[in-house]
Amino acid sequence: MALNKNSPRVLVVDDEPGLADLIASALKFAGFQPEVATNGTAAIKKYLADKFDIIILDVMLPDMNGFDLAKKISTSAPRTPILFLTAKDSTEDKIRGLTVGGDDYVTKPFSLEELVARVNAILRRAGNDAGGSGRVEFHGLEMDEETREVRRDGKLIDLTTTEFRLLHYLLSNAKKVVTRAQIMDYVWNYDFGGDSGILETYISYLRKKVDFKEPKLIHTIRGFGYVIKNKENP
Amino acid sequence: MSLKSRLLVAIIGLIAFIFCLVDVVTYNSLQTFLIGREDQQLFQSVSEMTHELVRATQININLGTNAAGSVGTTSLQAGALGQLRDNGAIVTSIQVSYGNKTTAFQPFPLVTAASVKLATSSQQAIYVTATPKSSSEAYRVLIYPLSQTYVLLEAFPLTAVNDTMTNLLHFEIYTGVLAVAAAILIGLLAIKLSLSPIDRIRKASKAVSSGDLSQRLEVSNPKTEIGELQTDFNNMVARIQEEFYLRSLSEQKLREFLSDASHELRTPLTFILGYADLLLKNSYSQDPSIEKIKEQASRMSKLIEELLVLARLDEGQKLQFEPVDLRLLAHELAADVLLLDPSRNVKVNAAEPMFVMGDSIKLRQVVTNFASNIFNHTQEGTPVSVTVTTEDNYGVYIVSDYGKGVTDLNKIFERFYRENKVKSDGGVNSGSGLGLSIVYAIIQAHNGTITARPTELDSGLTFEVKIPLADR
Repeated sequence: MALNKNSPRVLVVDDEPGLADLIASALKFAGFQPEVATNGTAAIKKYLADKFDIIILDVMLPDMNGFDLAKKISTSAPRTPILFLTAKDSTEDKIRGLTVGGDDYVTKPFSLEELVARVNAILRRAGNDAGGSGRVEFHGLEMDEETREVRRDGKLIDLTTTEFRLLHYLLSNAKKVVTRAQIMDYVWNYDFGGDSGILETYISYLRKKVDFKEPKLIHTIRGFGYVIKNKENP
Repeated sequence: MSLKSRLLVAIIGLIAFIFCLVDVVTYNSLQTFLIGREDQQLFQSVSEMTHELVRATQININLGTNAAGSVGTTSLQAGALGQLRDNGAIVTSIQVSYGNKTTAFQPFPLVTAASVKLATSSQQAIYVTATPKSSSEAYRVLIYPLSQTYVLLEAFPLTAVNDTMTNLLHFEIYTGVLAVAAAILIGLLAIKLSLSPIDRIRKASKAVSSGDLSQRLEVSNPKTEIGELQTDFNNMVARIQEEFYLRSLSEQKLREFLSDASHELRTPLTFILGYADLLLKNSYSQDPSIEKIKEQASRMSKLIEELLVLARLDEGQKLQFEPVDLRLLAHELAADVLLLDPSRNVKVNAAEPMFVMGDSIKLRQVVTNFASNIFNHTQEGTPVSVTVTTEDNYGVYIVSDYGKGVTDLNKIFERFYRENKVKSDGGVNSGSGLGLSIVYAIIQAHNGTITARPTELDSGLTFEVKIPLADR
């Protein structure tokens, strides 16, 4: 695979040299230009000397905390997106709070395929690329059918299976009003005793998770059904 | 009957018994003494009375030595001289009475002919106590044989003696009642006081059985039986506490070790997975064994993740409790099952919201594990049903499949237990054997219960989960 000058540049920061090399090899194989740093100081030096499209950053570094390093980097503009590497731990919640914009995180042990896919996804978001198969996007609300991930303005939203199906149906019919019966047919396509407002309950849960910020996207059409639209910017 | 009441009854019984005994003895001896004194007086007046009566009646009686009493002043109330006929009848020759004429007293009707006969035939003085029909007053009567045919009767009222005895009886009753009342009061107090250490021991034991091993008793007096018991109790609880502490310490270490070990295994696993990936992508090496390495490394990675989840739960990880709707978890299970295998017939029986106290993320893990368990252990298209109901103060979540069922229900929650290492369709059962153990640990952390049983007579598998309802 030939590299060209336009290939995205990736800074890989991990104190485990073997792992950093492995990631670098995989990225090179996928057509990126990786650079490796094994501690925080070296990472800052390389970051200042060169321009990178994305940084892959281990949260646990010998000389400094990955979060502190991220804060130092984010003061410079334009901000470079960061993909955090973490052992699935309590740090996961911390990262969730921290990740903004194009940021993301991957938990160890990860597969290299997943890592490369995430890097691609972040770069695509950074480049405001809407394309890609199995992806739906509406006013900053993105849905990836394969990874079953939902984000709003880059922030990961944790949805249950039913919530995902419901949002998927609404999103694939964006700007079109869908009736209660249509939704029930698609999402609740199995036998269950009585309705008892199950759809309304799920819509309220979905609103809490998706419409955590303005503008609100999920709207009720009274006596008819629901629609996903942006009233302010149709 | 409690120890307290038994002791009290025993004390009261003892006191009452002693009092009764003393009373009876006192009463009898005083009565015997007083009557004896009267008898002596009666006897001492025999001579005087005889002379007086003989003089009055002019009857010639051979008195012999029988009337050899001293003569002096008498306090006798009445005397009489009687003659005993052959047919047993008594003829009164003369009766005298002293004192108040209106209460003139006739001694003879008082005594029976039989007593008189006995006295004359044995020539022995006989004393009897008798009450005349006309009055309620009792008399002490002396029947004194003067000869074979003549008897002397002397009577003296027992008023003074009876008064004294009645007074004594009243006194005895009063003191008896007082003594029993005092015994009840003092006994209750003493029992309560002496049993209070036992009360404290009981309370401490109760606290210990409900888990408070820091309980210690104050040893009142180490030389008493109670004191020894208190000391032994303290030693016992201290020993148990120490054992518990040591055990929890070693368990804690083991759990930490498990947690750390799983954690440390991740990095080398990432390498194995990563290089297997790279090799597979490299077009020059298409060795199928690399595929196997990757497959097993992925499995190990999953296993380690589940081990970590279990280790955290065992360490007593704090759950984030909030009201969780079991009805929605039923719908999530349906969605998860259909996501893995859309050909299944799924039925949900959950009409009403059913809020239990739970950690929503952990309970969703339970649902996911149930779904993958169904997917891994039943054939494609096997129907599934999930029911939400309530029982007592618990929300009940029942998941049933209509597959073949399992052979050993008792083992399915055991860690690393896998029913079939080879799946029914020939594929390898890639389950870790930890999924249901995690479910079990999560439900336990919710103060709930989980049981497994066949869905139908000898087929299918049903899980029944019970979790305390949320207060709403």
